[in-house]
Amino acid sequence: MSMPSPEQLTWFLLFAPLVATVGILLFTRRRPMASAVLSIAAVSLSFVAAVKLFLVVASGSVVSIPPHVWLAAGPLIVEWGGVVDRLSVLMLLVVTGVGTAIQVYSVGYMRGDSGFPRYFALMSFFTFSMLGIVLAPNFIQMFIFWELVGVSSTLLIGFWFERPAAAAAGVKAFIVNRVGDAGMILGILMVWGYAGSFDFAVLAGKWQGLGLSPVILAAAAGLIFCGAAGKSAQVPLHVWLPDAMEGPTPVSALIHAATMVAAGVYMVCRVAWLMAASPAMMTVIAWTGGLTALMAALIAVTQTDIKRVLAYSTLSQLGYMMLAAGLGGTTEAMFHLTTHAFFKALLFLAAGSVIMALHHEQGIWRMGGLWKRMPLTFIAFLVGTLALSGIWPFSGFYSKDEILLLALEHSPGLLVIGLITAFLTAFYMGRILWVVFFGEPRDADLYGHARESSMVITLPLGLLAVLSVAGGWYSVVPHFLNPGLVTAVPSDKIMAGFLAVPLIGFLLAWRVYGKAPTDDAVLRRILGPVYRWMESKFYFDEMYGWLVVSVQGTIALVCETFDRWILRGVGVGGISGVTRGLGGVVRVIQSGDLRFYLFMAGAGVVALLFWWMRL
Amino acid sequence: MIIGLDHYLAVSAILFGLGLTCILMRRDLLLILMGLEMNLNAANLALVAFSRYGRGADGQVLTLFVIAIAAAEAAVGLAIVVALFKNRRSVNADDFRSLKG
Amino acid sequence: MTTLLLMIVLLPLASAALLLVLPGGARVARGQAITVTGLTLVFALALFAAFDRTTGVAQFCSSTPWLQEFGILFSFGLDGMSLVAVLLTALVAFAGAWVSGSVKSREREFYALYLALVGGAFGAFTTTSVFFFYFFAEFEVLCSYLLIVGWGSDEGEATHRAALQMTLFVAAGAVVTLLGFLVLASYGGTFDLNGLHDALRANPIPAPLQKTLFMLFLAGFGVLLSIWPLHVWAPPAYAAAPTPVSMLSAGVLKQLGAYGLLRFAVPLLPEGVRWAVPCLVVLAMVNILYGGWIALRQRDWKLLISYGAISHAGYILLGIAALNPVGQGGVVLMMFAGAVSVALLFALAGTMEEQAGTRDVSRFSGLARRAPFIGGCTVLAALAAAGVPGFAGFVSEVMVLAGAWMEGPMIFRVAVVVGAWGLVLTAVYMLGALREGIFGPPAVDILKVLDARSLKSRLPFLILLAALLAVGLCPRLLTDPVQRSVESVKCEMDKP
Repeated sequence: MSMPSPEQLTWFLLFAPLVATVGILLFTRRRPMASAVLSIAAVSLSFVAAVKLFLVVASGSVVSIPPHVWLAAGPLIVEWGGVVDRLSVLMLLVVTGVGTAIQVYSVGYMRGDSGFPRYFALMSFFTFSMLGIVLAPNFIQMFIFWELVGVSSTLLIGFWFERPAAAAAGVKAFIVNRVGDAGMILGILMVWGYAGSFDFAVLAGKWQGLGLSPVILAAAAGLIFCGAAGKSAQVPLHVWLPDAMEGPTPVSALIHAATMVAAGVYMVCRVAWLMAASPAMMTVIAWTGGLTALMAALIAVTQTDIKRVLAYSTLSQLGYMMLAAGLGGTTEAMFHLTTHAFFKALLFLAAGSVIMALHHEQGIWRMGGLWKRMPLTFIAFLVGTLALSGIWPFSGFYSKDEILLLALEHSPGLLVIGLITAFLTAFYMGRILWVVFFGEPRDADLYGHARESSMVITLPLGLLAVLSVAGGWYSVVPHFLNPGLVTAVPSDKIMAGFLAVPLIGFLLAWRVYGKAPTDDAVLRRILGPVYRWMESKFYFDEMYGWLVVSVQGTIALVCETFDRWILRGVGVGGISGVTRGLGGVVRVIQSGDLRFYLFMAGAGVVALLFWWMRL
Repeated sequence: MIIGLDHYLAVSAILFGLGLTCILMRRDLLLILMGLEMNLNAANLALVAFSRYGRGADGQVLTLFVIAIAAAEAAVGLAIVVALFKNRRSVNADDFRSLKG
Repeated sequence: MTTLLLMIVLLPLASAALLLVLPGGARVARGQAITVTGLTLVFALALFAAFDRTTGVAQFCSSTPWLQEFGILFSFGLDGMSLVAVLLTALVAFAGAWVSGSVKSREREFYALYLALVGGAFGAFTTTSVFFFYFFAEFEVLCSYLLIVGWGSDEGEATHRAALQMTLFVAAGAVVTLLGFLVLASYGGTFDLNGLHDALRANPIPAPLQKTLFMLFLAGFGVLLSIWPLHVWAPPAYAAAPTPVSMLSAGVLKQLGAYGLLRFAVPLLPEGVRWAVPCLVVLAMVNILYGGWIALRQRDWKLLISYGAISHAGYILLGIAALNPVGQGGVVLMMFAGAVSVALLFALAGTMEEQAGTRDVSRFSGLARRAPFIGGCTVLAALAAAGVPGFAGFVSEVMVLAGAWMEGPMIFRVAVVVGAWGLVLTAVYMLGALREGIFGPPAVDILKVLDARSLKSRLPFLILLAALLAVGLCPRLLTDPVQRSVESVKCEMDKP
């Protein structure tokens, strides 16, 4: 048997999860275990294919599927193809690798749920869509999968659709993403309008040379960035991500931590030529990232739902990535994306293990002292926390430092933001760690029932923990992405400084939360009104509520009133009323009296004759 | 005195006027029909006169048609009057006003 | 194939007449309607397969003299645009006949009229004679009036009112178009479309008259397409009509307006169109936003779908205004996508209404659990209507927006931005309805809704979904034949 060619591998890798989806929907809807096996088999085979492709790409070649025309209408030509280069193969590995671990975990987490087969069908469909984004060689193909990712994410967030909150969160995610996507499709059309192509390779070659004005360059880059801001939940389109935690925890781990939300960062890296053409837009991207990082970290400090803390932490880390991408650091952004995928997925899965043990209790103030009951989960969470906070030698340390170094080089303002965020990250993670795993049990009943989870849960945890520790060593990822990279070894002083910041954060967290308090009273007292702002998430939801309910709602009301009263009432009613009224006047003559009619006829004839004669 | 076209037309007009007056003044449907008949005959007289003093026989042909149609009309009209009388016990035109707007 | 094309028009009409004459119960009537519409679907697919994609001129032409003195021929032909229209009519008609089981009175008359409606639509889409286009369009109005009045779902008075309003509006529009057609024919000396093309190219109508004529056509076809402010009749009529008739009138009859503009007004009156472009673009924007905003406030499934369809008509108008093959190809594709997805939504809403006796969205809360198939189909249909890739709507929207962007002027740029915002609005009202009406905790009324369990009852929904998916995944199925036709339209327009 001959080896499949890289092209065939690529096709296989993309379509295996889709086949699983269709298979589950058609054949195994009533058999949960068969569905899970089908889905996991597909994603793990895709992972194997990704590893093979990785080896091919690592040897220095780029796999690209010869495109064929998907849509041709005059100058509008959309092709269908696929490209596997260093950037995309890394993403393929992350998506399929983390995806496999999480799907195995899901078997434990979702056991007994009535929608088990549907869950795996959707997970596979999500994997398919995500891989589609990664492989896309042109804008339209990317946009197609981009939207499909949005759809599958919506359906997974609203997986427990009978809960109003879950259904609302799913719809909210879709709509907020749609706002970003509307900008993105405008940007795509704009790029096509000026350059006449959708293809990344073609565009990258000619975009800078078209001699377009800076305004147009900035508008195109900015509109396309809208899409990235929607998917990667950057301010001000971040509001959907915390709500997305209504979905099952493995979904949060896969979609809203490791992969989908990283798609925006990936896209910005993929079209770096487009962004780089507009320095103004690059600055905007970097500061959007910085702002997101800082704001989300501030909010995370005040949240009391374990998954929401992690969600805001994800936002904050995505802000780091965007910051790096905005400073031109594609490699740094992708490096952090990779390590973040490992440790954030780990944190979510560990949190899920806790949540499951406590019968779906998510409030941190009802937990406590769990390290004794769930040692494996505790270790996993600890590893994730250290990696996320950027403690040496965990993976997060390396990737976050790269970004901070980048900021040090280019923009002191962003460096300050980055350092504050790093401090806050350590603080809120320390808070979670102490409140949830140390101290006294706050709810004896829940605590009494808590048990360590089964193998199917802890095995993926272990795997991800190893990756979270070692993922950054020797800077494998940056070197792979950019083989010519020369890592400037920073001075020890700077490194010590970067390391000291999170340590201070931990220390402070221990000071505040080390003595087993029962709520956030200390912090609330110290920060005063600022705390209330943070707790209310800077009133973004309220602002959108006002914008949607008051502004759009009022316009809609005006339109409907106009439709009902002016068009339907005055317009249609007026025309029919006038017709009716005229009819009423004329009917008086129509008396039904035969002789009267004849008299009128005769009089008419006489009148006509008279008129004629006079002329 | 030479009797000319004008005289014929004058008689025709008088006849038509008498017929019209009959139709307008009388309430009895039968009399209205008779008035109608007078109108038709006034027209016939005019047609024949035109034919006599003008050229060709068109007028006389038309008159023959009118006589034939008048016969049919009288038959249909009388039948309707009889049917009305059977249904409503009346031949008074003022009793039939249900077609008002 | 030429016979097949004639058959597709005459078979439904003949069997409608047959139904009225021959005796037979309700089952026979329904069976005949399903068989005949099924046959037309097969014919349409056969025509689709036999269609020559390399040319833009009409194929399978036939013509019989009818009133030759006035240049009126009973003539038929099929080009890319009419091919798509025939396909969508066949799909919707078949699905409509299949979901018509709830008609419970005077079945024979219902199915006879239904078949007449279907045959009339085929006739209007395939005839190459201006006279017969008008004839069939009027015929459609008459049939749908009788269908709505006789079998409408609302309370007696409201149904009557809605049907009357629709008929008066559409008939007034038809009179206006007839006026336009008569002027065209008197200039061109024939009622035949090809003859008119040649005659008007050799001897163009003076520009001022072209402008007037175009406005006449815009008003006339605008009523059918429900262009603001001529749309007022549409939502109540669609809501009141029995389900299969809603599907046909909101799906097919509405596209007759777009088809008429694209087939007659644009190619025959090039000067007039060019003059009216700003007006078209503004109307397009108004339609997109106005329909979308009103849809936001609807809590009645059928009204929501109707206002959504009005919003979609804006994109059709924008594509027509673009005056280039990309935009116009997009319009034809959007006719297909719009018709099929609206018909699907109406079929679903009708199924729910017939069982639960209400159309209030919020009273179906939790339906996805109780009736997974109906609920799932509604989710997919809503996504298709919201322009999610994979369904035909997405491709058509991209084509229309790209076509509009290609035209330079600022007003088009603004319209494209509005169009993109319209996509957001669609997502808001469609998914908002899903959140309230399909997801959420179970409501009392859904207990009355039975899921479609057998393949037989699922068939109409599956067919429409499959059509949307097929075109969404392989748009070249339709764009290739259409592109040649709209390009040939374009060539004639370039000639001053």
